[in-house]
Amino acid sequence: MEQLAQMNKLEVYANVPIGVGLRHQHFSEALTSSSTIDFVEVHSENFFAQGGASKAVLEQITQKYEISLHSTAMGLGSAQGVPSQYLDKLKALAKRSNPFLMSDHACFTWSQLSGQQVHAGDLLPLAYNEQSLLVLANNLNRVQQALGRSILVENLSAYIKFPDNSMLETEFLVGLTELSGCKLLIDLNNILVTARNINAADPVEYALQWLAQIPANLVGEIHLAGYTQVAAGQLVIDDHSKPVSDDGWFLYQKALERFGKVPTLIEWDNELPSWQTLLDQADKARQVASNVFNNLELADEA
Amino acid sequence: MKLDPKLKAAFAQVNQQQQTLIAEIFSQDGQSTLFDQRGMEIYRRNLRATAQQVLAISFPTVFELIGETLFNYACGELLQSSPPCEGDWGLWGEDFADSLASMPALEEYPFVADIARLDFIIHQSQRAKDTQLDQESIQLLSNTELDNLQLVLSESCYLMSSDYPVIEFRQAHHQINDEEGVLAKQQLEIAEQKLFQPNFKQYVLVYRTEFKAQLMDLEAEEFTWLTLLLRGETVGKALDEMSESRFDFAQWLGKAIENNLVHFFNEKEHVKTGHK
Repeated sequence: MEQLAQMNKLEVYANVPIGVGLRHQHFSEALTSSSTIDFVEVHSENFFAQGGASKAVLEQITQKYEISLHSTAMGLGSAQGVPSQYLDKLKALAKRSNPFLMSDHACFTWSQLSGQQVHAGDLLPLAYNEQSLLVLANNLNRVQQALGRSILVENLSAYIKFPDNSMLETEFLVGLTELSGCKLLIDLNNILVTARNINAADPVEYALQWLAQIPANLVGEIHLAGYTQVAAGQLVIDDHSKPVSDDGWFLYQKALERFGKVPTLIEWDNELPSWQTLLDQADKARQVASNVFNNLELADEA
Repeated sequence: MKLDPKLKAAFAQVNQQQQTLIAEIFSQDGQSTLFDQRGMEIYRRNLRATAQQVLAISFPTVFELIGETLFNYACGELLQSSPPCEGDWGLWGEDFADSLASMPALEEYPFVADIARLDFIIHQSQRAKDTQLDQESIQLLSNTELDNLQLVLSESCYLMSSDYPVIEFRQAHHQINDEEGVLAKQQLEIAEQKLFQPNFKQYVLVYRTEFKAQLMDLEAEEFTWLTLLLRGETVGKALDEMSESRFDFAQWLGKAIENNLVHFFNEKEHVKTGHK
């Protein structure tokens, strides 16, 4: 574990670190069985309680695994700002779990409703324009300063778009890295979901172009997931309820070729399969990564 | 800190836009003039589904008692009257009991609101900071005037009172290894007997020795005592208030320490963080 943490500081990995999202249904198996995964990702807010069972479980998890803290409620793009109370909890959690990665989404969650603070409880999209970018970067800088570390920011799958978008999603995200010094968490499934929801003629081609617009040195993590297919005319929901699709695996291979040995996570949140199925998905990711980098080494030698 | 005018303008503009979207998601009429209806319906559905899921975890007895349909309706009402504001769903629901109490469909079941109160404090107790007795502070018992001595309870201690046997109602719905419902039936029979007692009142302490919250059916005088301590009264002042009763502090203290109710003793002038 220490080795992985050290490698992250150097941001050079001998092998691609592969992890899985750990949800409470799998706590027992994850703690008692052996596996080859390099890390687990937990949702920060599930461990905000100051005591009790969740705190104790997290202590056990951190003794066995390297941790990635993935937040879903920080709302970095909220014009309302990220409340200090929330940040204090996240900071305390980071202090006691010592994560090697921390991340959240390019979205907003905090706002006002009838004059009162409200939390949307969801990852709500941002307008891709200069104003939203300034808000997001300003909040992110504040968060990174408070935490004393960099945050990875994930691309979203959105179900609506704002009428005043003035830049591409990729321009927006790259602009964010320039203004804040953060790196990106690229969720390949989210790109595919977005492609399908905007009726892209060829979703995989859309995703490849999307990836090509992200400079190779800006990616700090990759998320892999699957989604439930829907009938024509319906919007695809990013439900993380299926194995990684064939398109997802293909994109993963292309992403590794472009971004290098980036920590990779199998994300599965609904209709959870067995722990072993998650580990099998992780093994498959490891195999894809191994093929990519063996081939690249062979090409270099040739 | 003064914001750059460009940044300030950006925040103002984005704020307005985000408030508009939030208002449309929380709106009950389900219409949007600005955004794709299909997408807005996904956000509304997600919000309702998440709210129902988290409240079913925080209020398991209420869920069992009133059934999924009414429970989900009540969740929708709470989203309107008291939307989440914390970013931690586990803290949401403090007003659920009041919301249930005002629902016409539950008019004939007034105990449901109290059961919601009990569910919520149990949930909060199980999230509360882990505390153990500060052994060193015990010496204050021997060298501090009782009028200056505070007894700070563990953060997992919560109190409530009810006109209904809420402990039995809860236990009837959370029996383990009771497939045929025998234990549940017993609890409901006890509840029924208590309901017929004149001027029945139940005083409940929720506390934790380890991870699972425990319930204690208190005598009225112990409830008063704990209420005084939670209010921050000194031991001396609280004992004065209890002088008409048979309350035995020394006997109580031994049992309280055994049940991990006591966090620490404190001299009144000293400020030390404890139970909020």
